[in-house]
Order: sequence, then structure tokens, then C-alpha cells
Amino acid sequence: MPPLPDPKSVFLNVPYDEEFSGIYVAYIVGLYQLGLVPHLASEIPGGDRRLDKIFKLIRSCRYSIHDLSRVEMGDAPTAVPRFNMPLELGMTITWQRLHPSRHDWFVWESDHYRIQRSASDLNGTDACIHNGTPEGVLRELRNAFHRDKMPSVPDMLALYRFVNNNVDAILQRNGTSNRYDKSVFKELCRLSNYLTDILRHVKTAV
Amino acid sequence: MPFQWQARIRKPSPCFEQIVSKVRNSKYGKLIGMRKPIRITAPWPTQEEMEKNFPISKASKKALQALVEEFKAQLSREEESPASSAEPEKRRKRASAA
Repeated sequence: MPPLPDPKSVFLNVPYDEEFSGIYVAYIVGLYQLGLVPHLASEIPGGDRRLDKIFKLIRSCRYSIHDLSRVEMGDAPTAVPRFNMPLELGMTITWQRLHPSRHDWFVWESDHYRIQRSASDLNGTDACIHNGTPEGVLRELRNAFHRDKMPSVPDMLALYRFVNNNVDAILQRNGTSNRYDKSVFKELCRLSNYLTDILRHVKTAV
Repeated sequence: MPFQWQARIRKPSPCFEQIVSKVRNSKYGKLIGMRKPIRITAPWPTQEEMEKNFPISKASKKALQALVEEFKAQLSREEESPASSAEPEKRRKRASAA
């Protein structure tokens, strides 16, 4: 039996594409504002097989968020739907069924009816619908998780905007244009945590 | 009239919230998968934990610290002039009305 997962850890199963990058930043900022710590498959070191690394990460996290909003066909004639997110969701469901007290998972979508078409076996699952907007992500995070004295959506959105406006500087410093890069992810996490700490103390002082 | 409907949809009444809460907690609510939010009681992540899980270089830390200072300055500016923070909203409303 593996050790108990960190009660704050959240496995973030999201598509790594440019169009999704604003929503990805909203997940990171929003989770920190609820006192949770996101983890990405790209942050795991080592030369193991990718699938093994992902399963190890799922087992080490208490929660997981599976965003299926980009499971779709691209424009190119040779395009195929991207199945990584549903595949990892399947692995998570199996793990949770085997160890119900160790893991809770959430499915996220941009639209109420997409999930019924793309994965009808999930009918009956209460998906979090973010409408493809950062505001929707923050709202749904507050619906999925509850913490005493959690910030309001406008407060969360203000912090998100600040981080998102400064992503370019982080990218430049790390010599990449990829927001999902391990070093960029780490800096986004550190910045979100610093800023959340400040806001918490400001609110406590008021 | 359409404006009133819009307002209702955007801001549900407390009564609506109560109904949703009752359905969530009922046997039917559980049956259809409506779940209550998960209550997080774990302590907030500390800087030591962050350092351990997400180590970054000294140069990066310094750069992030500069952003933190900028954020603090922004917060204090907003605190000093609460009226001015309402201005963009007013401007936006005026623009949309126009």
C-alpha cells in the first residue's frame, strides 16, 4: 500500500495547448487560493515510462481535476481527438474505486451537454462547467471545494489577472514560450502561493 | 422586462440556494451525482513545503519577489483610493450604455 496522499495535493489533468493556457493559469491560481497544491504530469522527474509516472502522481494526490473540454477534433483533415485526458481519468476512476477514501476526482467541461456526447458512461456524474472562461474555473473551484474564509470570485479573479499579466516575464526568464514547461509551472505555483499568502494576511488584518 | 429576467438568472435568490442545497443533500441528489463541496481542512501550504516541492533558483525568487512587491503596491493604491477602483466599472457601464 503506498503512503497516504498529501491532503492538499491536486492532480491537474489538462490539455497542454496554447488556447487553453489562460484556463490553466486560472486553475493554478484558484487552487492556491483555496489552500490546495496543483501537480502536473510534466513536473515528474525520472526516466520511467510516461504512463507509470502519471499513475504514480495520481496515487500521490488526494484530489484530481480532469478537464475534458478540449477532447475534440482539430481542423486539420488528419486530426484525431486527444484521448490523454479521458485515459488518465479512467486510470483515476479505477484507483478511486479500489481505494475510495484516498482519492476524489472531478470532471470539468466547458459545456453541459458535451460530456453526454463524448463520454456517455459518465452520465450521472456532476461535471463542473467552466464555460471556457477563467472566471468559470474560479467559480467552479469554489463549488467543488470549500474552505473557511475562502476568497470571493472577484478577489480570485483579480489575483488571476495579475498572475496572467506577468506570465510573459516568467516565460522570458525561463527561455521558453511554453506555459506548461516544468520551470514555468514551478514559478507560477510559487508566485500564486506568495500572493495568496499576502491576500490572506490583508483580509485577516481587516 | 428582459433585463429583469437577466438579473434573476445572474443572482439566484436565497430561496433558490436553499432548494439547491436541499436537493444536494437528499437521497435523490446523491443518486444523480450532485455532490456537496469537499471541505478542505488541511493547513495552508507553507513556504518550506513550497521550497521543497517547487524549488526555484535565487534569480527567479528575486524576480518573483519584485512581482510580489508590485502586487502589494497595487493593493495599497486600491486601499488608498477606493473611489478610483470603482471608476473603471463606471466607465465600462457608461461605454456599454453608449
